[in-house]
Amino acid sequence: MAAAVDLSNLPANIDQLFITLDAVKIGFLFLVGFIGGLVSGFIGSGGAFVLTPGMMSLGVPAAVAVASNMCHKFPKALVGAYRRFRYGQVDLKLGLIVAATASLGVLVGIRIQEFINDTWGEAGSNLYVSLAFVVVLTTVGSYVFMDAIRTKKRERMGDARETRSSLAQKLARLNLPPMIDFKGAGVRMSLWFTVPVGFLTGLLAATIAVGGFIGVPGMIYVIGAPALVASATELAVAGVMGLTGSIKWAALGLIDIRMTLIILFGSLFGVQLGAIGTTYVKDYMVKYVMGTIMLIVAVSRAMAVPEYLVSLNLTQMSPAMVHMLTTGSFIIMCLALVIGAAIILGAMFKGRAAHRAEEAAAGYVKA
Amino acid sequence: MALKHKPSTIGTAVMGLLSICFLAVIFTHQELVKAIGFEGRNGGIAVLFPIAMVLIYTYIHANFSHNVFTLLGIEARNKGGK
Repeated sequence: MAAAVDLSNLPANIDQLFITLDAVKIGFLFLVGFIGGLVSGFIGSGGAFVLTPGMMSLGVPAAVAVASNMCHKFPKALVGAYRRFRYGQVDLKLGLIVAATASLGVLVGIRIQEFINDTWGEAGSNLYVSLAFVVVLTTVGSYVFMDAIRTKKRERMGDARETRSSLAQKLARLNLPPMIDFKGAGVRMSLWFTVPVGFLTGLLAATIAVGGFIGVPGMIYVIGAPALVASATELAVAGVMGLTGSIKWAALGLIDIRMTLIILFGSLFGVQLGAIGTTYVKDYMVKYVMGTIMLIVAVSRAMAVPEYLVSLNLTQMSPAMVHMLTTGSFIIMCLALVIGAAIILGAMFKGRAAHRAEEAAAGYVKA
Repeated sequence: MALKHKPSTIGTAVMGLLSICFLAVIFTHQELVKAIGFEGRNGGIAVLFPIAMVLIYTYIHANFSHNVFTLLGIEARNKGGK
């Protein structure tokens, strides 16, 4: 939501900009950082979207919340990408192409945001962001979730192969130069089909601040990368894009380094645990967790829409009802993250137990 | 997978201590840290301050947290990666 942040009404006083942090606030930031890191390390993105509204609920101005959140995301993503690169899951070539084209998408996304902000004001901009959340997450999330169920069923029937989507298979057959070999993803694909994936990732990143909700499914269903490779490669993309974004926010003097470091303290534990988790689960688990989180967040954002419709005088609702929906929206958003983390931890420990049982059966038990 | 040799407990404890000390220094010098971050809006070297801080801290804390998991026996399964 970087571009939706209003910079014109920022407090001039440094103490109003950077709030006092007590033990409760520090504990909250650590906890959300850890859970967010866990989810990001596993599905490649989507672990930090609760942080911005979470920080704002502590009294942090929106711009400082966005800036401090982004500044913790890029090193976390780079650490996650490094770990998963060592597990052989990152396709660097794919990551670089998606990151480069995503930068173009970010520029266009910011222009769209500026246009909406100038025309309909902040409420219009917030409404656009929420509707984008609802439409994209419902559409893509449903598809990802249904695909996870289909893949799981196939596996139960004894078919362990991860099949590429029919779209990715068709695109791979089209010989449109330049053709690129993505060895990590095990795909040969025309550059022209990877460009839209990157562009839309950037466009979404500039709109809802979580480009990975398009990037990961795009790499899976359009390019044909396995889910584990797509989510790992997205971490590299998020790292590169986050670094450039953080420099811009630092030049505005809006990063609260204290909050960033506390969140990092938790999220670096989480992201590495999430990355380890991917080595114990089946490929469809990434889709399952991602689809679940996307659908719950879509519900959360749908509940936030009435507030903006009221602000724009497009509908009428009592302030008490608006407050209830807004609070419910935030609680459901937190719930999305907690449910995602619970599924990841459950799957990881189940996979780890199964792995140990396999080792014991093979006679490799360590003393 | 380069995860075979266990990190030393003392080395991990030192990294953990460094991580905590880093945060302690930041929080005992909050006003200065906030002022330098705020100064970023005027350009210059202050722009690089938050970026440099997170990169240094990430190096220390990422190594510490990784070693903690390894010492606890929570390691990646070798699926044929590097």
